Amino acid sequence: MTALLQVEAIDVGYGHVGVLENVSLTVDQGSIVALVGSNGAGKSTLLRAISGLLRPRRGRIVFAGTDLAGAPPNRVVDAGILHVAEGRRLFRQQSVDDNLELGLYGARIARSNVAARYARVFELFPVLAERRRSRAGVLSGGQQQMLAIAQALMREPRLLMLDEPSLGLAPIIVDQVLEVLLRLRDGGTTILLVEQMVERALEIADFGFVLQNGRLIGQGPAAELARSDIVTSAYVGAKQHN
Amino acid sequence: MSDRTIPRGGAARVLDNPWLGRTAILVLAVAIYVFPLIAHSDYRLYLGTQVGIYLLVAMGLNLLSGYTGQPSLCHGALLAIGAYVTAIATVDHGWSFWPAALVGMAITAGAGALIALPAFRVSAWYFALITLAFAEVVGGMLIEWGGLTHSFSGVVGIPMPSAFGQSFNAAQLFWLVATIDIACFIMMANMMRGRFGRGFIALRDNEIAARASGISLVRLKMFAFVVSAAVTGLAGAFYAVQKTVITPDDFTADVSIFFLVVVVLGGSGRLWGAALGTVAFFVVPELLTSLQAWRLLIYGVVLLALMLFAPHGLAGAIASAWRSLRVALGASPRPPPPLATAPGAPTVQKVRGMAVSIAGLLKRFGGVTALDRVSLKVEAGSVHAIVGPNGSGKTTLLNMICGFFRPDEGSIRLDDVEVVGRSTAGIARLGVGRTFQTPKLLPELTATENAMLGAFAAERASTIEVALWAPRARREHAALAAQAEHFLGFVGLGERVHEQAGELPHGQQRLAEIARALIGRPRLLLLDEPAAGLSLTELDKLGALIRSIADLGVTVVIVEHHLELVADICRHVTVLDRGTVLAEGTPDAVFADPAVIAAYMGARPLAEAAS
Repeated sequence: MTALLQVEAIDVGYGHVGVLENVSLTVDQGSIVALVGSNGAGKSTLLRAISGLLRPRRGRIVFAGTDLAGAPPNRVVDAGILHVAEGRRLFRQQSVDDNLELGLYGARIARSNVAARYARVFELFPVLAERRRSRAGVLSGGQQQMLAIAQALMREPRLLMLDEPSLGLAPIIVDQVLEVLLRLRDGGTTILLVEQMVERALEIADFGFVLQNGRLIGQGPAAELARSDIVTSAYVGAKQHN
Repeated sequence: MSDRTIPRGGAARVLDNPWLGRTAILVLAVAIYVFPLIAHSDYRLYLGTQVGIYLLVAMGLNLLSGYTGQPSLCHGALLAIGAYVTAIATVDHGWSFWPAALVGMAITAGAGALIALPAFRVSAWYFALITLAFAEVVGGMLIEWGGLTHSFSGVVGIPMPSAFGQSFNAAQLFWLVATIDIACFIMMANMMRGRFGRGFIALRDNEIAARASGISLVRLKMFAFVVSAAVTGLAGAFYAVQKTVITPDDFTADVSIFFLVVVVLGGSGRLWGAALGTVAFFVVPELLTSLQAWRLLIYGVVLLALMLFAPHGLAGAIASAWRSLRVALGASPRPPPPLATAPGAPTVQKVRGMAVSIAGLLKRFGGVTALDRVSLKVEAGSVHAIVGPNGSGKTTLLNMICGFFRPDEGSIRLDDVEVVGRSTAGIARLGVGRTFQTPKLLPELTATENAMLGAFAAERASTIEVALWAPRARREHAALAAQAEHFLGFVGLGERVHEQAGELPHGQQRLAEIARALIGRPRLLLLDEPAAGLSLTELDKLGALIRSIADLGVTVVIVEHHLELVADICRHVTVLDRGTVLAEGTPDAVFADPAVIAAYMGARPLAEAAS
């Protein structure tokens, strides 16, 4: 497989505080890569650095051959990286349709293709098609999460980054969301997934990276990671698996 | 991650010494009092007094707009009311200055109460427009009500205050104004570190957190308006005697806008913001008068530059420059917090849990029925989970128990008290604490200060005691801070008590919210998805924490999707689905119910999900 994204030895921090130190990782084209680690390990910070919301102090972020480290978020989006942030950041007063349309903001695509994009996301998330005119704010939590993902998909990203998509969702909805991620991967979308439900994440992922206190402490094929002790040790005193 | 063991060099010892700040303030105070002796010009002395008067207005406005978040465009008009009442009473009715100033202050405070009324109903933007209209009305009255105000010619020949038969001279007036400024500054500082400061900031940053902490929005807002207006009215009294002539032209809308500029660019919601703003935007331009036409241009450019480069005003810019300087000199960005002088760890007393009894609860939002005649009983002292698909009405149910929403039908009894129709603050004071799906903390305050907010309704020291930092207020503050640290330790945040809440990771913000709820000594605790986003280790700790809260006797109602946690800590589970009760009973029974599996849990049986 070819590498779509290569993060090379980046340091990232806020103000006087350093968060990530010398982190490198590779995301292969067409795979799901899970990024796991306890809260405060720096997972969201890494996503924010890749999407240009934070500027790394050091290191390179090479995406499809171009170094994007320090590039503004709009350039990162144009390059094909979409970041679905934690907590369903939607335009709550706007309708489902309008939120999807805003997903295309600034995208250079032909008018004739727009309908096809809508059709594709509605095919993935039929429940959104039923609620096209509803305000995003009145959707249930699961529907909002689906809308947030759908909004990113409108641009047909080459790399989709998801931060805790299961947050606050009923178990049955988590199943549905993860199901969609598998279908997306099979359709060729590359996915970088940050998820607190480690086992679920490693179940659907092809490869995984483990972060602890801002450093990478392990990596490997997801199935192997799920069985190894590295993940457990990343959560000090983690629950014994029975 | 940050390195916590920064070596402390000699520079750090000097910088961290509390006497550094105290000495600086003492020098400043001496300089202020010596100023009239070295001013050597009537103009400078006049200017100095005027700065003192404007500073009073700016402090009053900072309280209202900066701390409480109510942007006022009428402080020029409030200044006018204080000034005119004083002028008319002394000139036309022959009163002495002192009672005239007091009455001026009282009438201005009354006007403040009047403009507070719309603030309870409208958003901040509308409120700003209403204050603008109020300023216009006052300005119009100064002209039209000529019989009282002498219209355009104004009130002339306002006498200086006098004491012991002697009229004040300019230097004495300066000293009087300076003393009042300093007293006002100290009282403001005391109020801000006490419960009022936390309450005001809660009104500004998160009204929901304020209500959940038992704060009555109406009373606290009214208080902020009245104090702010009274201080401004007092400034007006001095304004009148200093000018000796006041006309409507002295109080145009520009004056109100000027004060807002002073507060915002000085550093709104920061103690020194008003002082820095007054000096920077009043004194400096006055001293630049020799530059004539260039002056306004320079002024405008400076304002623009400040807005661009100092988003937290002068006070914010100075504070952050100071932090950088400290780091450059080898100290930590902030001085280390004082060592806790806790009088031993406070003992956490057991409480008698509250029973909840809900019957026939109905709530519609527009056409959507969020809760359709839900009935539910929670035993006193138990841990009871409410689970269900997203949008099934779980959070709505919590919101109605604590009074954020009013049900359309049905009853909610806590022990034997019917709470439907009661205010949120009233229900909180019965002993109901809660946390929120997205933590609602005040990001600029420390974890300790946030936790202390939860005890707002329990504090007893009076306003005067807090303003003067009397022994009782001091004791209460120390005891409360110790309690806050204790409860933060109880939830597992013992090491982060002095960090700003906004800098805590999400999961820890949830824990800080639990500490805030606990400090109010609730008998019923409502937790809204406390486990969302927690890692496995943190989940275990949360489970243990909830169990130890239950051990105190507190009834816990928890809305949660982590079923293993629910199965672990709860004796009873209620499953909601589309606003109705789908199932209830023990976790084992409920999670084996085919209807629950189909509607909520999905194909993965619990044993597997919990592995």
